[in-house]
Amino acid sequence: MAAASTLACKLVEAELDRLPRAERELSAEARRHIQECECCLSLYTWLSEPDPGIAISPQLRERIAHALTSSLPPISPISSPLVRIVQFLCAFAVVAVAAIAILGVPGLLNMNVWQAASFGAILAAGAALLCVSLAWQTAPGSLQRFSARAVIALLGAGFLIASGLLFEWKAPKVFLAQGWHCSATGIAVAALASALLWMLARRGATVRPITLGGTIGAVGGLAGVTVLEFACARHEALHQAVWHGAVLLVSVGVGVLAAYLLDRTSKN
Amino acid sequence: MRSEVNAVLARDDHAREADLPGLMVRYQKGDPTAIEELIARLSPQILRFLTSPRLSISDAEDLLQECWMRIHRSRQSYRPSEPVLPWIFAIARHTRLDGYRRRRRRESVEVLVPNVPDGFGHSEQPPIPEPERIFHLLETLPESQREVILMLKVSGMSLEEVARATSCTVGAIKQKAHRAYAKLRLLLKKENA
Repeated sequence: MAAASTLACKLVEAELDRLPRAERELSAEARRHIQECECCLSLYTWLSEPDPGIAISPQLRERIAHALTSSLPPISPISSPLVRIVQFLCAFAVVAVAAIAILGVPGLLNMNVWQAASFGAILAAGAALLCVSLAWQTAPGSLQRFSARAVIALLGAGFLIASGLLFEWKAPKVFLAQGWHCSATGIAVAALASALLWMLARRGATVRPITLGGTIGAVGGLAGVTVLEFACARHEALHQAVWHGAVLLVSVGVGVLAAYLLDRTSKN
Repeated sequence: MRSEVNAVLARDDHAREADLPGLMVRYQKGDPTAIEELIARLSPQILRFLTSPRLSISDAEDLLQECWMRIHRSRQSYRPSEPVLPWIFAIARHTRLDGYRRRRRRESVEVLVPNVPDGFGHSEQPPIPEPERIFHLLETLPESQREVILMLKVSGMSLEEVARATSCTVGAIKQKAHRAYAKLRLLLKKENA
């Protein structure tokens, strides 16, 4: 009996989920159940009745209206999500192409087809997904179909796995000196791309500043890694994973930290 | 009878959401009457969403003002083709979370009084009116579940719209709502027993 009751309670919940309040009408079965189950009746009645809210005093209303109308210049709304995605991708591409033009493509010339295709796919997919996420994050109330944090985690894991599987495992001769040079170049490119992306993102608004900072850092870091894949001819797994991977890691970390600090400063 | 009630509710909800995008567009164009109307229409719902029994009414009203300031600063990020309520409640949610964090920081530095002075805490609590009973039960839910139920109740948004307002997937919102329903049913059962 208890199991049957729980099942019927779930039926009422499922119907509550299916529709917004405006179109909510229970099926005959669910209606029969709520006549028997006091808890479901209370819950359904409570959720179905529109809430008038808490009335605010006319003085408070006037105070808020006065504060807002005192500075009310006309503004134009942000561009469509598609335009914003293209803008973010263009910022990524402009910085990456400019840096590649300066640094050359010895890395790409030394790669085999599998290496080039795999890294190309990981970097392109990562950049595209994160730019889509950036477009959603800069417009509050957008439906986010995937999580930026999950994409960043998957991207990092994919990069490490691809580095381990596709490149040779041999001890680099000058691990620290050459590696540090690579990371510094990548981080400089990432900083430039992140600054450009941040300027574009400022046009919108965000309700999750730290996630936005991390995502901007990740796209910037991807630009840095892309440049290194083209420009760096040291194709050793350890070098790729540690020094190229560090660009992504540092960039995301700095993005999160900068967003946290900016958010704290703006609120104090 | 129930279908008549549903029809009335439907008309009421449609009337509430209808024209909000138009008001937002006028607000973006700098029309002061549009923002005044938006404040009048949406403030009661936002205040209900921002308030909690642990928060004084003046603190809740401060949060409401802060929320409108943030809405004002972010108004360019609303697109006329999008629903208004998820946009508004996404900003309200952020304000609420910031207010909650500020309160926690403040409470952590407050000095606790070892002995309660005479005359405090001995007065009889007035009975909670019936419509407020479930609002009080919501306080026992985890924050993530409570905000979902509050948005569903206060704004009348669909699950997808709540997902938009909370930057979550629809599946995650559905899961939170179901867990909250199960807990609320249990609490109601205990209260009724």
